[in-house]
Amino acid sequence: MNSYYSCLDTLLIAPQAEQHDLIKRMAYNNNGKIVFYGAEEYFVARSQPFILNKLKRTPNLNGVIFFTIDQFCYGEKFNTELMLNIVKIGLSIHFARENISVLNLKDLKIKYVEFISYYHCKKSEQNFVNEYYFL
Amino acid sequence: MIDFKKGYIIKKCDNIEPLKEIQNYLCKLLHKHFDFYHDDPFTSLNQLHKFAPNLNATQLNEKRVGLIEDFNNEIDCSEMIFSAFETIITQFLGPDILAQKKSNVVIQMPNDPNPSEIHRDAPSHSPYEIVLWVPMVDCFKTKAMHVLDHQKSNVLYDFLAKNDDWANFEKEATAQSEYVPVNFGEALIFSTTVLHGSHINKENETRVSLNLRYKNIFSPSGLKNQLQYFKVLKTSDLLKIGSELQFKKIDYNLQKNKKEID
Ligand SMILES: [Fe+2]
Repeated sequence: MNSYYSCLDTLLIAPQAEQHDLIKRMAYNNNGKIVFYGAEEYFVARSQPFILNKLKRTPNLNGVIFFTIDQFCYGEKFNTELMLNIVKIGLSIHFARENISVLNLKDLKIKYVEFISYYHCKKSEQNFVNEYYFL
Repeated sequence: MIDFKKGYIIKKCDNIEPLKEIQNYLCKLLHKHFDFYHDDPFTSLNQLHKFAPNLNATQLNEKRVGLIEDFNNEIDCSEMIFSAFETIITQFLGPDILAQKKSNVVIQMPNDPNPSEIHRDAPSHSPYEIVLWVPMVDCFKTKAMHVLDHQKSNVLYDFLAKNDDWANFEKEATAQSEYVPVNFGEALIFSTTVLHGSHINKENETRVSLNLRYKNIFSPSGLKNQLQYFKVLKTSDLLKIGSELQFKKIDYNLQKNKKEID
């Protein structure tokens, strides 16, 4: 049984109960359960500076489950650094809404293109969709 | 260069084999879900309404949902459709391509009162995406889709923006749209910005078609979550080299900063 740390997206309007449900299901689908719930005050949503230390201090963890990969996209650039730091301390990373897992450094290298593509495409979309389509 | 001024084209496949494979697989599932057997795939599909009579809309929809789930669980449709239409898809999008994870299967029996009303897929879908509408049988007249070209679609949306009059917009769109006959072995490829839909199928045959979307890996996304909706289908060596270097640089900076802190 794997042990996961749960990290909600505090910038999202989606009700927290729904976020919890999806995160729990993601833990279950990855042979585990949530053993620690990150409190909102423990991280600043845009860059999440406290999460890495929090993960280092929580014993016997196998991974961390975020509600969405958008939690890595709120800053000026895609937060590859945090992903790298997490996999380098031996934890897996999971995104509940997207149903995507990064198991280790090798896996991160493989999925990196998909992540930067997501970030890039989403930011470009925000530049024009709202202006034109919703006249 | 592809002439795509109208926002849609009909294209013959490079390779019919993957389409035949999908067609056969679909028939197998139809036989299972609708409980009948016929050895000719075209008859199984075209005459589905005769093999499965008296189904109400709810029952038909339940069967359709079960069928789509089985269909997507067992074959990689986006890869197969890509291999059937590789040349044209690559001409549109280049070598770095995302494909819709799950294909939609649409079954339109004769006189089904619920066709798909006229609409366009953008902005929930990116205007940089292409839609491949791939019939599993020959489609003509009311059995086919109807489409409005890019220019006419734009004029109508300008009208809608100015007048906020959906009823007249829909009436005009339907009046100006054209049926687009497409045979098995061909695809209707259209931009997500063109209006399209179907009318009640007045022919004596059932239409069974697939639709799925492809986009370039770095073109702007629509409002749908790209990671949920698309998967990476193809990447070029150039993209691999570029992203590898970008990743290495971030890793290098991290290690450098860590050393400075230590
Ligand atoms: Fe559509």
